Amino acid sequence: MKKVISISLLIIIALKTQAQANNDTIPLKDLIVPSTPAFNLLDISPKTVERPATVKALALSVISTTEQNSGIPKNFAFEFAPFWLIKHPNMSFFKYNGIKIADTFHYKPNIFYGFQNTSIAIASTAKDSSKSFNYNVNYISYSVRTNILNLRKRKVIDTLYTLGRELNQLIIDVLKQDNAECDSLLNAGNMQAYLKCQNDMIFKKDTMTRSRLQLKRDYIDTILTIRPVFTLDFAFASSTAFGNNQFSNSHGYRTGWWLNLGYSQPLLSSDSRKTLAGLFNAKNYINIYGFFRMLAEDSTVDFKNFTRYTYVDYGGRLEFEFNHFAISFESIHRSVGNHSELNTFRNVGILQYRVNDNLFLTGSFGKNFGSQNNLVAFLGINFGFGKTSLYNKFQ
Amino acid sequence: MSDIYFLKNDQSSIDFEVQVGTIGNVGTVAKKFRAGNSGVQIVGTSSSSNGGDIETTNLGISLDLIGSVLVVTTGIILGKKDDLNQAFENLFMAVTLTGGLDGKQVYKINDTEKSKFEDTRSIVAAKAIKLQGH
Repeated sequence: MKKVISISLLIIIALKTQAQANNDTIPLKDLIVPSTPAFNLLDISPKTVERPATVKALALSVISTTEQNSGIPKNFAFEFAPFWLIKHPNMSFFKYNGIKIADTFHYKPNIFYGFQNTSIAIASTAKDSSKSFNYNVNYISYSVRTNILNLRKRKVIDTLYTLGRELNQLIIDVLKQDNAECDSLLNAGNMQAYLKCQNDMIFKKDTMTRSRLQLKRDYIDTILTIRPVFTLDFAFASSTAFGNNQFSNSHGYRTGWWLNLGYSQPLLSSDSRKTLAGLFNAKNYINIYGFFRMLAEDSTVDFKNFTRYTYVDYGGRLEFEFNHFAISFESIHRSVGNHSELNTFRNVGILQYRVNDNLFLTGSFGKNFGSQNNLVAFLGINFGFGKTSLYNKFQ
Repeated sequence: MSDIYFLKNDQSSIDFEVQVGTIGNVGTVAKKFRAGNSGVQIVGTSSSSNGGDIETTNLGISLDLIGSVLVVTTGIILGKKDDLNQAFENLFMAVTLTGGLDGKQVYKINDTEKSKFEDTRSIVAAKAIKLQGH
């Protein structure tokens, strides 16, 4: 009861303080590489995003989009990972999870394996003319997002390799067993029934709820949740505006680059650091983030005269994370192209407490952007930030 | 419904290999079903240290194999975050036979030879190839 009252009081104070807070800030989460930069660039959150998984599905999406519209397609959004549109005869569990196999006894980490998940997104949003803007405009944006580096601890790689081998062998052992029931289905020419029979064999329950193989796979999934030590993500997005939806009347609109790096080290004793349990159960971390974002926009009110604004934001954050509580210092510099007098910076100390998975209390103090009214003294609440810390948003 | 690989009526050596491409944990076993339901013999398994591939393996002498069926079965288990549908669409599995009448022949699985199971997040695929004299 006491806890509920305390939290309620904190929320009331936070809401009151938040209302008075200076809004001229860049939340750090906005500097993180967006999951779909093409949508982010146009400030849209499409209700339906097509995510074709094969070349055939991609072709159908493109045909469907072009057939629905005469002229340049409008109001669509799709995203795909080119690497996964086609089959890869040499793909394996190890390759997929960043383990390069040399031979039966030799393997090494592949820190560039995130490239295989590079995604491309294309989106459009059409805006009709209004009193303030006398043009129908169709904005089309396109983006690429990738993970350049992903460095896991050697202990994690070794365990994934060992568990992967063990699970592969367990599957082989099951399939090697004599099974007259499955074989008879095959002899009868009922292939689908044979496949189901084999699947039932693989997942035959050894315990009350899970098969031995599922438990092994669950363990692998658990290991995969251990934070990487270092990650580097990159994204690029650009967009073009088509006046009255005509190709001949086009102009570049917004362009953005994002580069993020994240370093995370669990604060553990030297003995715990060597064990998998120590790494998995770690609750205290030191995290370092680096950010670079460039945004350029050709602004117009008549679609004839354009003014270019370029913003470059760069900086970093040093964070100490102690289970539910985090203390950090953040420094972000903003450079405004052709308007150096507007260059500014923000240095802020931040305290954050996670009340539960979806509720965070945040306090900030320091200097905000600009030269006037630039004191940051802020207590706020954030809902729905998710279950994990900022570092996990990098992955 | 089996594919057919034609053999010579002689002492030619017949070899096979299997290639499997998938993101999941995988195991592959090749079995030979002798003619007239006279027994099943394991003729090859994949290596646990890599994917579901079976390296080039001798299947036997051509004359002895006539009437047998080579059945290659692959089991795949995916993780909680893996996309089952995409893994199913992108599954690559091919059985290559050499030494027969038509030399090297590659048999890739079609859609009726693989099945996905949502509850267990798994895929099972199989290729049956009848070894027939001419």
